[in-house]
Amino acid sequence: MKWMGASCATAACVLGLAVSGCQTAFQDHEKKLVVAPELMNDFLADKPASTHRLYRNVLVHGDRNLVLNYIRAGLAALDVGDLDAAEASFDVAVEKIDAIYADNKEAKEARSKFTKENIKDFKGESYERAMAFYYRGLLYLMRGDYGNAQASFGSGLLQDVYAEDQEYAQDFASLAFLRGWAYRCQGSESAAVQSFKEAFALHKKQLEQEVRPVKVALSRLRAPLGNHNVLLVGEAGAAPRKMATGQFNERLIYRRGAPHSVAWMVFRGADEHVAAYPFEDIFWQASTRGGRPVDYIMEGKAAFKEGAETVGKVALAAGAATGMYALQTQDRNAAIASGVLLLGGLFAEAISNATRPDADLRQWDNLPENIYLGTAEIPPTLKTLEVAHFDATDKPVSYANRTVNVTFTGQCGIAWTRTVSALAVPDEAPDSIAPEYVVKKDPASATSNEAAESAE
Amino acid sequence: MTDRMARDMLGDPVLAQRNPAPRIIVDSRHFRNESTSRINVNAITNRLRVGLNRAAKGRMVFVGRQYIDVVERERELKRQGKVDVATTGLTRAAAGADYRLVGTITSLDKRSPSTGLMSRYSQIVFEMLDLEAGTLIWSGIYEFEKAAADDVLYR
Repeated sequence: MKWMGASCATAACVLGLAVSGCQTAFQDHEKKLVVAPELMNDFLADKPASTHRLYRNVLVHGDRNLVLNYIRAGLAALDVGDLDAAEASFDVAVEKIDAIYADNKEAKEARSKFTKENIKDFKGESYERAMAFYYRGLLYLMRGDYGNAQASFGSGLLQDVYAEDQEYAQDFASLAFLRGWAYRCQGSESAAVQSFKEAFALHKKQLEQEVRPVKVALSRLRAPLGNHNVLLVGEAGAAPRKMATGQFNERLIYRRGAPHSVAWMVFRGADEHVAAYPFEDIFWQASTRGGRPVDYIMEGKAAFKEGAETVGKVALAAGAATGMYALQTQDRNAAIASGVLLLGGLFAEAISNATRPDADLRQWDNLPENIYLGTAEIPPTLKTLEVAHFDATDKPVSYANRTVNVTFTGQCGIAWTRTVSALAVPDEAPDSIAPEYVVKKDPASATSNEAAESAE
Repeated sequence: MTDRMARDMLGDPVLAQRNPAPRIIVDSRHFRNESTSRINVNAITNRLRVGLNRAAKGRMVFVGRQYIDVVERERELKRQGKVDVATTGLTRAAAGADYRLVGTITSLDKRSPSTGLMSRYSQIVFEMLDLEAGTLIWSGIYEFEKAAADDVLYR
């Protein structure tokens, strides 16, 4: 019986090693970095205090989530009126988004069967990349830099080309409209006319195709009149939610965020009463993107995982049956065969457990669901406007009316508002990082274990 | 590009061989960005002005219209007697300009959803506008193209 005991012990050992070594919820790249307090304090010093809990993630999450954390925190900075911090954040983000990732180490690793997709540097899905350029463009408008504003909106449109169905490619109507507005403010009238034409053609197409829970799609927005000098931008609702489906959570799908009923907004001054109408549905942009090339890689990983699991189960069952037979008949060869089958089965199971086809669910969670646009002629002396919200039956919606600043830096003004604060999100973006207790030391930034631990 | 532009302008007899030397404004005020590249237009026009000014050696005179406020303030102080006339004497008015550099940058962008190949053809047009007649006395066009493919994970 000695040989049978040895065979079982080996199998148990392999099983233990394989399972403990491979089947962990979080992989090394998902752990937080421990950052020295002085480094963190320096980094946060020029950011608004209310956004520190978002900005700290830039260092704690590392390069993998750099873009994600800068766009979340940058949007929060914009919402609290710190344009300098917002500009610096979106500059980093759009530069990274625009960078070409060829021969990137993490991108190669993300294709490995044993590494989650979320090891790659986050650039966001097409709609998230386009929205990063949208906010960068708004910031340029607020500064009166119309040339770079239109360049940003144009770059945003280019991020939206990767739809599987080309019907939905490059169809961000709001970006085309905003580009037209920036062109007009710059004095590039023919380019402006072309962009407005493109915007309304895209919007019309959206209205024809869109199925929406709240019928707010019938936009009454018109191209700006020649005397219009102020752009009104409103945002309402919650960001699209990324979810995983499939046997091994390998497929990325989208769901609408919490519902809202804002059909239009009114910006009011002493004598002004200007409506802003819905012109973009971010969920629609996210969900019409269709399949991504990376989905095929994930499907391949899932098929491999399933295959290994099946092989493991079959080999283990056969090994157990052969083992029973060996015990009953005291057949040495059957016992050896049983051991081999068990080992093979355990190995296949371990391989299956180690395979990670999980779709990347990191998401920009303080985006809005809808963008509302309007233009008007407003005296440059007017500094603030009151915003009210209405549903599709023109009844007031119970959002607190908000006073917004009208920013006149160049010849055009802009007023921007949103119903949901960009700070109304958790400290960390969904699925972006392992929980607080799982940390690793960043040799570049942590001075010592003690200092690092005290930072936490 | 700015070095090439400076050479092109200095090689043009209308601009560089006129007597008296033409007065030119080179700033970013009438330079339009219609491309998808975020650019600092001041960086381009400043470099061009510095390069031209160094190479022209008096064949062109550059008017610092972007500093007109500073000039007007000093002229006022001199005329009020609060400061003396310095060494170059007084003129009836600040320098007017004969020509002004205007321009546009445009781009043609393509992205292939299947290969991830992104290409951007950029074209910069600079023109010298006669500020009296409204004619364009010099034009230059500069083109460049970039292309690269992103990793399949980001398509």
